[in-house]
Amino acid sequence: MSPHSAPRSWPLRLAPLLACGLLLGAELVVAARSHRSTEELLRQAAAGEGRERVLALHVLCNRGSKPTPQLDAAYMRGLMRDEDPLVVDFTFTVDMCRVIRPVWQEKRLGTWLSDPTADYPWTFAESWRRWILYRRKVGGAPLGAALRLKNQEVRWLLDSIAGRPLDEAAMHEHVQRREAESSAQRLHRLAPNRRRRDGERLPNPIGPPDDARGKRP
Amino acid sequence: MSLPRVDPPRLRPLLPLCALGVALRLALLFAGGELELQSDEANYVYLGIAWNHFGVYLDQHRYLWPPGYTWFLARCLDVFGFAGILVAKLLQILASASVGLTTMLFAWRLFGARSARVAGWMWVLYLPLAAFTHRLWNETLFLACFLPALYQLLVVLQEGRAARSDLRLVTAGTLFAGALFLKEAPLYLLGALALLLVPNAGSWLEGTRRAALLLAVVAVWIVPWGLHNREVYGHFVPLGTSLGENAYNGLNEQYRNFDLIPLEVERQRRELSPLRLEMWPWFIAAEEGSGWVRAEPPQLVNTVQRSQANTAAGLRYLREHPGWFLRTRIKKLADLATPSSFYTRHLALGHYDSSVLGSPLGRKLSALWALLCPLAVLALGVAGGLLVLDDVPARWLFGTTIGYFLVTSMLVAMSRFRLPIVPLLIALAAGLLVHGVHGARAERGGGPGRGRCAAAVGALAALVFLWWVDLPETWTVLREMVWRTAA
Repeated sequence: MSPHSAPRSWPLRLAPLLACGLLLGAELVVAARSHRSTEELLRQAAAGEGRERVLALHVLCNRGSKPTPQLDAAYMRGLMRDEDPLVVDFTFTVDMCRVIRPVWQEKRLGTWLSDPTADYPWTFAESWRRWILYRRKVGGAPLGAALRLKNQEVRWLLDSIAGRPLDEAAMHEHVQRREAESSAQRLHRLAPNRRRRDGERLPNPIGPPDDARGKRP
Repeated sequence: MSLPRVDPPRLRPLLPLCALGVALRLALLFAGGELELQSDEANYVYLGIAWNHFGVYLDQHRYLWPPGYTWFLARCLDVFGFAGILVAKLLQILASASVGLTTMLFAWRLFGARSARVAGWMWVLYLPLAAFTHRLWNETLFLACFLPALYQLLVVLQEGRAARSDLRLVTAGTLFAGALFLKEAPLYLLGALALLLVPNAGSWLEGTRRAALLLAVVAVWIVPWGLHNREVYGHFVPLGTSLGENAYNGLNEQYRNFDLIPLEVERQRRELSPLRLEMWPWFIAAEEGSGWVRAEPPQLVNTVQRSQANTAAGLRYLREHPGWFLRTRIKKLADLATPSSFYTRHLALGHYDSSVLGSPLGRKLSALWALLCPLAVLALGVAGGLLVLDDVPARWLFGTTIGYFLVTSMLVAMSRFRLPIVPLLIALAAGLLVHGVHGARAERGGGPGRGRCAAAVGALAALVFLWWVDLPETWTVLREMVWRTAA
């Protein structure tokens, strides 16, 4: 139709709005029908296929002002011993580490880091994957994350997920180097070098780094 | 008075320039070689792999990003494995054609075919924008959706009573929703754009209907994700939320600029003095010990509630320090208008060191070019907007969009946040270059008028002042990190 053609009648003009309204209504109905209560989620997290369990855990970890009371340390330890490797992997993500302090994850990975060749309940690929999921989680410095993914780590992560053969020696060396790197970065923040120290002797308009002090919101 | 009516834009004459832009971006991709992941790039890749592995979209602890870009990367990685990163970059390069084409269409519609060609060349050669096509940031895909949406709205605004407005509004709404899935920043701009439709449709009733249709179309696309967020987080968040973390970074004692944070880390490694010591202190100074700490678990676990708590703390800080707020916002504007870009930042970080772009000559030439691009486009674009843009709907649309991004940058600013307005500035700059102040004067039988000339001079003076505000750290980075490679 040209810009100069006759205007349509109002019922016709309102048709697209009506269609949008119907679609929005349908979306609301679908969402309402797919809502699951905490009890249903707990049941789903306990049994079923790995992905369904992970989905339930994902919601349980995030919904509500306080974590679901059932998700306690014993529950977490149980998940870390789970038969489904996907569920065990999930315990190293931001969701789970936020709900319960990742003490057990640190312990397990610490044991592996000290001797990756030792007899261990997890395969090398599983341990390596969990180390990456834990250490490279997004925004999670207070939750155990350190440094960011490198291209080589992405390659190995994809290989470990796909079950492809891994160069364990190279990966082990890489893990040790990166752990040392993150420790050095932590130490560097704690003990500034001479130039930084000299710099900070100057009148500092910004003040000391945040997180060191301040009020809680 | 306005410029003479221009011919309706035609796509065909613009395609060769578009193809050239895509080819240059392709060349840039291969010239850059395999680049190491930087900052959010690594985060997007992690989230994409996690989404494929677990089947759920994990949040970013301090942010709740919209899922679009992670989904895009997840699909690429799922199908192509590690090569998915290259595939994603290739797709971004193809998508950048939409950016170039829309930039040219804007210029054509407002200033004619010659301006469109000039705008096309400027887009082809605008290195900071081109560099985003081979990095894993969402800007290219975002612009590829956002700009055509704006263009459709411009046509609807210009044509007034046009009968095809519904199709254009549905297209605009769909593209806008696509852009929102990549970056939630323009969510509130949508309301302002819908308001613009009301008085520009021939009647208020029809204008209201059009505004409602635009909003409804966007809602149809984004509400399902909002409902998903409600199911997972217990709160209806339409796409994502960054406000709390941005309040922490922007309404707090410590000055933060994400252009500089990775550079500061690298400078520590190279034992160089901190950049913050180079800055003019007045623009960043805050009351010693006045800062606040983020809400964190276990006190507050829910990501949305943490964001809300941080927003409230930021607003409280603002209310307690109004003078500080006004003073430090100058620095935010300067960070938005800075001549540096992610390209110069990544040169400084050494990402291109093993490629031709990182060679001694390559880095100097490309860094200079990357600095000149924003300097020229910002100055010419601002002047063009004030001197030669006479089309009233376009002035409203451009003014609202540019104003919106200026206001949102008052919270946190960096060079990346100005990208949504860069193509608009390119179109305006092209209009000024083709018509010129005197050309426009002759065509209109008058001139831009004293008021507009004064506004343009004032705006350019403000721009030069903002560049001066950021000059110390920009110059230091250029001298110590871009010009020189790490030992």
